[in-house]
Amino acid sequence: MDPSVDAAGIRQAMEYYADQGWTDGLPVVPVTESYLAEFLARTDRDPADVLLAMPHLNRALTVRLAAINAALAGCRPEYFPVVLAAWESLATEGYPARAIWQSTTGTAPFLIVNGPVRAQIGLNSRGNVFGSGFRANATIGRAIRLGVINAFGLRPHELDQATQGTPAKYAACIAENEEQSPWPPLHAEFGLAAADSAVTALTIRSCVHIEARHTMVPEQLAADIAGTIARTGALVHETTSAAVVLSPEHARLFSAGGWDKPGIRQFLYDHAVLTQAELVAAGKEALSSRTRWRLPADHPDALPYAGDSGDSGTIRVLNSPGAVLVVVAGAANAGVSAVVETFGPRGGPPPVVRIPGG
Amino acid sequence: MPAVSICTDPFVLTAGAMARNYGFPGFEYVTIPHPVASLSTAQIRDRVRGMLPDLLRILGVE
Repeated sequence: MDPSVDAAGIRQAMEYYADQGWTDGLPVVPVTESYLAEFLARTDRDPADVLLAMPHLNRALTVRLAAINAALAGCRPEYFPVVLAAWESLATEGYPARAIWQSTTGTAPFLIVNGPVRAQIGLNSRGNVFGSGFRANATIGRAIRLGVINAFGLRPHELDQATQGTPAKYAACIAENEEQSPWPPLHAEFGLAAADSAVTALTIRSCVHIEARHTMVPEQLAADIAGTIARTGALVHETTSAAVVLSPEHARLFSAGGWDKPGIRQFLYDHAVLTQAELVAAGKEALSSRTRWRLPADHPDALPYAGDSGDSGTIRVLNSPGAVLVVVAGAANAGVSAVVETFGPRGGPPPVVRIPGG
Repeated sequence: MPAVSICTDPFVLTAGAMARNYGFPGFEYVTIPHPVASLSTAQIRDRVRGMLPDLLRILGVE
């Protein structure tokens, strides 16, 4: 940097923004009208268009507010169509408008990006895909978080009541590793052309690591993944849902055995099960008559035990194969995958939103 | 219909924020100890008995 340039003015602006609470705790990029215009020039949409409304808060996020927060987050203007599609996907997904971001559960929005836009803006789909190091992933995910904070006022200790939250609340945006996947990408699985670009937003609770370097047998690997999906700690409702993010190595293992994404979903539906004894041990064998949340059979709200839903006396934790999504991401270097624990979809299609011009 | 909001202690900050958001910064509500979800029926009844005077006061019952 030119030593004659004094950065004090920039620091002063950053401190001002922090003092206003317009941040996730990290410094934000100062935004002026001229910089904002560069973002708004990337879309045909009216700046006043509402992308997501929360009627219970009397608040709404417009295209203009989305652009301001994308700029604050450190996005480049060319990322903005991805941010817009992410907000549309979150509105379509449905949980945010129903106040899930205020829940003690502490969920985060999780974005999966597909198509040519990944290469165009440098989104990481390979090594360290859930980690740091890539501006597009980091700032697109952060653009959503800052919008949540600044447009809806969902600040922790106030309207955000998360008991613990998740590290994904800083930013959670991955791209599918389509080049090293043996199968059609997520957006093509749900009706778009592979040449389209798209964002799919999910409401997630956590991202659970699967270490499975021990087997070359698809059934064993799938059973390992099913065991994580079925953990009782995740089972607050009658059933749960998940996005399985397979590393290219695991995807190849399945593919070599003749498995495809629908086949994996079906296996996980059939094998993500718990025994009655396992549910009893955790006090989750019955359902509440009011909420259908799980609770012990001797709880005053408990419904009579409904019976087994799986094979040989087991209870399925997924309500359909559609309650699991399968994507491929990460480096092709080890047998490491992840179960992203989601709130839905539980049978319906995921909110895949096409990026215009992508 | 007259109504009184009830929340447990840890939600006081959020309740205040919601009240301010709706333009009622001084909105009065009843607070009770946390938690509720794991209480027995008898314990729930005790909580209700304990909060009744506050409920009636906010409702304006003389």
